[in-house]
Amino acid sequence: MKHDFIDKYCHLDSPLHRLDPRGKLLFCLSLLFIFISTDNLKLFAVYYALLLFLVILSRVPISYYLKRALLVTPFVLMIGLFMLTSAALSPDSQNLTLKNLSHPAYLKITLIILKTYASIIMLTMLTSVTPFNCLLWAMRKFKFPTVMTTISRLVYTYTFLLVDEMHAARRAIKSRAPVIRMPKTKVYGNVAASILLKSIHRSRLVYYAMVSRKFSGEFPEGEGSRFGRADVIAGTCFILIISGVCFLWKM
Amino acid sequence: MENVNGIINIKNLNFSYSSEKPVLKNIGLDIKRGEIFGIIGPTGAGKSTLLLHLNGILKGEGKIRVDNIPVSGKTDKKVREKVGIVFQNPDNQLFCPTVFEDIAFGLYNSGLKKEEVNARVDKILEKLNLTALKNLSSHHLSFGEKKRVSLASILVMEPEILCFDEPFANLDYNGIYTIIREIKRLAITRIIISQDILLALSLCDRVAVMYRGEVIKTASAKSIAGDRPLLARIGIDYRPYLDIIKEIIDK
Repeated sequence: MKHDFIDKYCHLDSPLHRLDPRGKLLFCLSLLFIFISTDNLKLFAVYYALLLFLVILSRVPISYYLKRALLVTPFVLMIGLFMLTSAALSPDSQNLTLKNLSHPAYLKITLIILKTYASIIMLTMLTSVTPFNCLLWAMRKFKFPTVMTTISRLVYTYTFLLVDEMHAARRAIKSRAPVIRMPKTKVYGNVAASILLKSIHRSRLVYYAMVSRKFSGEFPEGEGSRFGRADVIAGTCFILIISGVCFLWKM
Repeated sequence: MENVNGIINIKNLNFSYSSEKPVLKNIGLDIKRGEIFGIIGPTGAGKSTLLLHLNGILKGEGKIRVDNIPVSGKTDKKVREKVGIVFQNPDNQLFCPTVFEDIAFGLYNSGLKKEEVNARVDKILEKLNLTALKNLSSHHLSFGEKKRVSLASILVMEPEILCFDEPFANLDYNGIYTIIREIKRLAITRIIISQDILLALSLCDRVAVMYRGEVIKTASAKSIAGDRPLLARIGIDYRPYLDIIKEIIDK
């Protein structure tokens, strides 16, 4: 079965795809840090313009980014609702009306929404322009904790298998019950339990396969890439962008 | 040191996953260097469990010697250099982001240098006609391709003994033919575990028949094939298949 939900576009050829994974990871993490630390609403116009430029440069369809952004929408709405409720219960809630959009609570919610979507777009872009093995290699080069890279690698691999198991379970349900008359919670509860048990069994077999090839707790580093002229140019642009943002911040 | 003629010598091996039900009972086997040795038996006979003892993944009571090295916690590394296992389900064996990394996994864990790892991986990819898959993710391969990559990931470590757990399971005739050809081409000791009695008997020099955790007969493949009452008693008689084929031809 073929799945493309994580690195569907990482084999395209674009200026971003050709860059060194270390540079991309560093750029992404720096931008995420900037997004999170910014409290100035106007600066997000600059960030989104930059993101749009990068999205076009990546040659990955905009609809793909939008779909990914849609995935976090329920969480964003939940956080927004929670913040709105807590603001409404606070002592200065009398100013919190729909007409008073300059209220600090609205500003906070807007900032959270903008930060979340900017971060999701950035992360989607990173995983779309960098094959996962290259990303892991870059993480290792930056001395990310081994446990983090090992878990990331296993999660990446086994997400595919988990999805396969879920598809198989769904097919099994549909083949025997085109219309589910039992309580759906019970059916899906059983499916979840069965997938969990299969995962435990499978994890044991995978461990055997790893141990039989002398696995000692750490994955080997694998192949990487070298810094080229494009990386130097991208690095210079990156420094200019960061300097520009810092300048705008102080204004 | 006790000297033994066979490359693998097992004496009085007993094992159970829980204390109640023994999975292996008093197993004794002597496997000769360079032969193709089959272990056949119905589901639940303990064949795969026995296989996991051969490179020290599982440890039961009794004595196992691999090329005169006693299998114990202290000799695990040496034993795993000698014994490679190709597992039944390649999805349990392939866990790296790319085919290259999966094949290189064991070599890196053996402490080989990058240049040697690359050279050996390229050589085995070429030998098994897998070069085109080198940078692909193993989840994107067909089952037959995954099976061949699993084989490559073990062959690249140049073991002296190669164990196959159900090598023909879930393969089409073309896949089976490819695997048989690869097994026959190898000039090392090969151990094949299979429920497919006809294939095992046609491929192996000698065969051990397992039933309910015990080895009930070890003899030449020809002798086992002729012992129809034994095969029928444990439920793995191949004659019904031949009768069906004969019936179809007669029609």
